[in-house]
Amino acid sequence: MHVLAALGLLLVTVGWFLLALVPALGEHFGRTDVGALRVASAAADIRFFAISFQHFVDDRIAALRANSATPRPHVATLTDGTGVWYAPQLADARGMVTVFEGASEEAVANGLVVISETGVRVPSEVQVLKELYTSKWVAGDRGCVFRAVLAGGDAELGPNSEVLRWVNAGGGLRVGRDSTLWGRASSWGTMSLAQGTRFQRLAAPRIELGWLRHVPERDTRERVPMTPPNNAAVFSSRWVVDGDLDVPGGERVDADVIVSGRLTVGRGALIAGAVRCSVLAAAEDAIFSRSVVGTTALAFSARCHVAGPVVAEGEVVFGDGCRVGEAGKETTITAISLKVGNSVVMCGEIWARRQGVVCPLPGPLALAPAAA
Amino acid sequence: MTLFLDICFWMLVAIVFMLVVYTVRHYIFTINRLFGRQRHPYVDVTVARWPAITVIVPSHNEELVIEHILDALIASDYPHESLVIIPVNDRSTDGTRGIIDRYGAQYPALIKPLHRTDGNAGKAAALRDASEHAAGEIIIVFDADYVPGPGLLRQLVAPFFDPKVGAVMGRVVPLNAGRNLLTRMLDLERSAGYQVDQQARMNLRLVPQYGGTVGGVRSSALASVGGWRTDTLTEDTDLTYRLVICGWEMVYQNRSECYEEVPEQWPVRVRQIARWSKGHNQAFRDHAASVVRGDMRGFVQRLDALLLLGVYAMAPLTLLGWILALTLWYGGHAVSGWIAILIIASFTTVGNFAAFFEIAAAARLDGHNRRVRLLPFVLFGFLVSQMAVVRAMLLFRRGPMNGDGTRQVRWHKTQRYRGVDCGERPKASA
Repeated sequence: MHVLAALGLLLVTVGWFLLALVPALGEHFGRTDVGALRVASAAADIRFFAISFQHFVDDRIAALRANSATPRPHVATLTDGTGVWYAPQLADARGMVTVFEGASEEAVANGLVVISETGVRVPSEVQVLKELYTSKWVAGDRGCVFRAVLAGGDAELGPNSEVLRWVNAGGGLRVGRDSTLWGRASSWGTMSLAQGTRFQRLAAPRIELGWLRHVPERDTRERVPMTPPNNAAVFSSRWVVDGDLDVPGGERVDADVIVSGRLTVGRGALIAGAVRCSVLAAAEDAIFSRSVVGTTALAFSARCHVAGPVVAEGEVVFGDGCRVGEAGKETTITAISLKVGNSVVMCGEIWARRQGVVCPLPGPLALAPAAA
Repeated sequence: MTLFLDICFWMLVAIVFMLVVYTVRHYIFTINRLFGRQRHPYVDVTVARWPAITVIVPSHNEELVIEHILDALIASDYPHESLVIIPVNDRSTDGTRGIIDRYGAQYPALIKPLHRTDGNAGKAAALRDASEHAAGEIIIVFDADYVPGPGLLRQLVAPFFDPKVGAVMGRVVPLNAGRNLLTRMLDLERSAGYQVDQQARMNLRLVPQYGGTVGGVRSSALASVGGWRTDTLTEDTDLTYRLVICGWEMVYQNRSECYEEVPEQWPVRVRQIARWSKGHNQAFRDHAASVVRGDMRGFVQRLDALLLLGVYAMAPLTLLGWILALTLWYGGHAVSGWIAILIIASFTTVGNFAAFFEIAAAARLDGHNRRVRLLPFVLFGFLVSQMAVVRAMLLFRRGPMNGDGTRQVRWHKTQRYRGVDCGERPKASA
C-alpha cells in the first residue's frame, strides 16, 4: 500500500512537472511558429502605399476599360466586390470630370474607390472615403477630405483639406491653408504647403513651406576662425565641449562640434563640421555645412542654412527663410515635432513624429529653446 | 565548522545579491521595452549625401556562404560610387579565395579582395589589415554568413551623421530559426538579446554593445583608441569598451535587421558560447578597472557597463552558489526569509528568472506569440550554456606570445550549414 502511494505521488509529481511542458511539446512537435522573423524595410519607403496602390490599379484597369460600355464616368464593381467610380480617358487630354459624377448618393456614401484616366475635380466639402487614383491631375476645392490620393500628374488640395492616410503626386503637390496631411505626403515635383498646414511625413525634391517670398543668395562672406574655448577638448577635427559653447557671430568653426549642453551660434556664424548638442539656438544667417543632431531641441532663426541631415529627439523650429538641403543634395529632417515659418525651403524628406506645422513664428530671441 | 558555514552563508548572500541585481536589470529593461519611450533617432534618415564607406567581410573557409553576402552587398542601394567592399580571405583552404577573386575581377571598382597568408590569424587581425585599405570615414563589418538587405547599409551609416557616434550595431536575426529545437531556442535568445536588451540600453542611454557584425565603426574613433586589437577573442566587446571609455557613443538600430545562421548542433553552440565567454571575461579583466574608476560618464551608465562586462562571470558564480547552498543545507545552517526565497527563485531558474520574462516579451514584440510556448525548453538551453561557460573558464589558456608582445589567436569559426542539404538559398530582404 505504501509503495503504491509513493508511486502515485511520484506519478502525480512527474505529471505536474510535465504539465508545464505540454504547450512547449505541442509547439515543438506541431511547429506552428517556426519561420524566421520577417525583415522588410520597404514599408519605410514614403511611397510604399502609393506604389502598392498603383499596382492594385494597374492590375485592374484593363478589365475596367474592357467592361466600360460608356465613355462617361460610371460605377463599376471589381471581381473582389470593390465598388469603383471609373472615369475613362476623355478625347480632350486637358479635359476633366467631377468626382462621383453620375453615381448615386447611396453608392458614394458606401464608399467608392476612384479610378480615373482623366483629370479629376473634387468640389468643396466632398469626402472621398476610399482611395482616389488619377493618371492625370486632381484639383480639390475647399474643405475636402481624402482617404488617400495617387495622382499621375499634379495634385492641388484646397484650403482646409484633410488627407487621412497618404498622398502622392507624380508632378507637384500644392496644399491650401490650414490643411492637415496625416501620414505620408510625397511628390516627384515641387511640394508647396501653405501657412497653417499640419503634416507628419513629407518627401519631395523641393518642399516650399509657407508663403514663399524670396530665396536668399548663397552667403559667401569670409568668417574669422574661432579659437577653441577652455572647456573644449580639441582633437584633430573635433571639439568636445563639456558644458555650453557660444560661437560668436561672424566666426567659423572648421571641426565637428560635440557639446554636452547648449550650443549658441551667433548671427552669420558658420560651422563647417557636424554638430551634436543638447540644445541649439542659432541666430539669423547661421550656416551649418554638415549635419545637426540635438538630443533635446533645435532652433534656427531666420535665413539659416543647414546642409543636413537634421536629427532631433525633441522639437525643431525653423524661422522664416531657412534652407535645409539643396536641389540635387536632398537630405532628411527628423524630429518629434516641427515648427516652420514662412518662406522655408527644404529638399528631401521630413519626419515630424508627432506633428509638424507651418505657422507664423516670433522673433529670433523667442526662438531660442529653454536649456535642457 | 560554524565559522566555515557562516562564511559560506555570506558568500551565498553575495552571489544571490548579484543575481538579484541582474534580475532587476532584466526587469527594468523589459518593462522599459514594453512601456517606455522607444529611441530610434536615426532610423528616419533615409535621404542624405551618403559618405564614402568600406564594408569588410572577414572570411576563413567560407565557400558555402561568401557568394551570398557578396551578391547581397552588390544589390545594396547604397551609392556604389561611395562604397568599397573588402572581402578578406584569411588562409582559407577551401574555395573561398577563388570565389572572392572572381567577384573582384567582375566588379573591380566595387570589390577589392584582400588575401592574408601570414601574421596573426583571426577576425581581429583580418579587420586590422583590411582597415588599412579602407576608404572613407566609416567601416562596416559583416561576418561571411550574413545576408544584408538592400537598405541595410544606409541604415547602419545614418547614425554616423552624429559626430559623437563611434560605433553602430544592427539587429541579428536567425535565418535558420526553424531548423530544430536548438535553433528555435537560439532564435528566442537572440530576440531577447536584441529586441529587449540592446534596445532598452539604447532607450535608457546606456551602452548598447557593438557585436562585431551587422555594425560599423568610425575610422577616426577606431584610430583614437588604437585600432583593432588582434590578441583578443571578442574584438567587438573590447572595442565597445575602449570607445565608450574614450567618450564615443554606441548606437543600436533595432530596425536594421540582418539574417545570420545560428548553430544547429549542440557541440557547435557550446564552442561558440565558450569563445564568447572567454573573450568577454578577457574584456572584463582589461576594462573593468577603467569602468569602476569612472573613466565613463554617469553612475548608471558605469554600473550597466560593469554588469554587461561581468555577465559571463555569473555562470561560475551561480554554480558556486549551488555548491554553497548544498553545503549549508547538509551542514545544517539555517537560511530563511527573503534570502531563502531569493535563493530558491534564482537557483531553480539557472540564476535569473527575469530572463524568461525578457524572452517572452521579445517574442511578443516580434509578433511570435506561439513560439513563446517553447520557453520551458530555454531553461535547459541555459543550463547547457552555464556548463559551457564554466568549462571554458576552467580550461581557459591564453595563446602563446608573438614577438611584438601580443598574444597569438586563431580562427574560431562557427560551422556553416547553408548548402545543398539546407534547401533553398536565402534571399536578401526587400
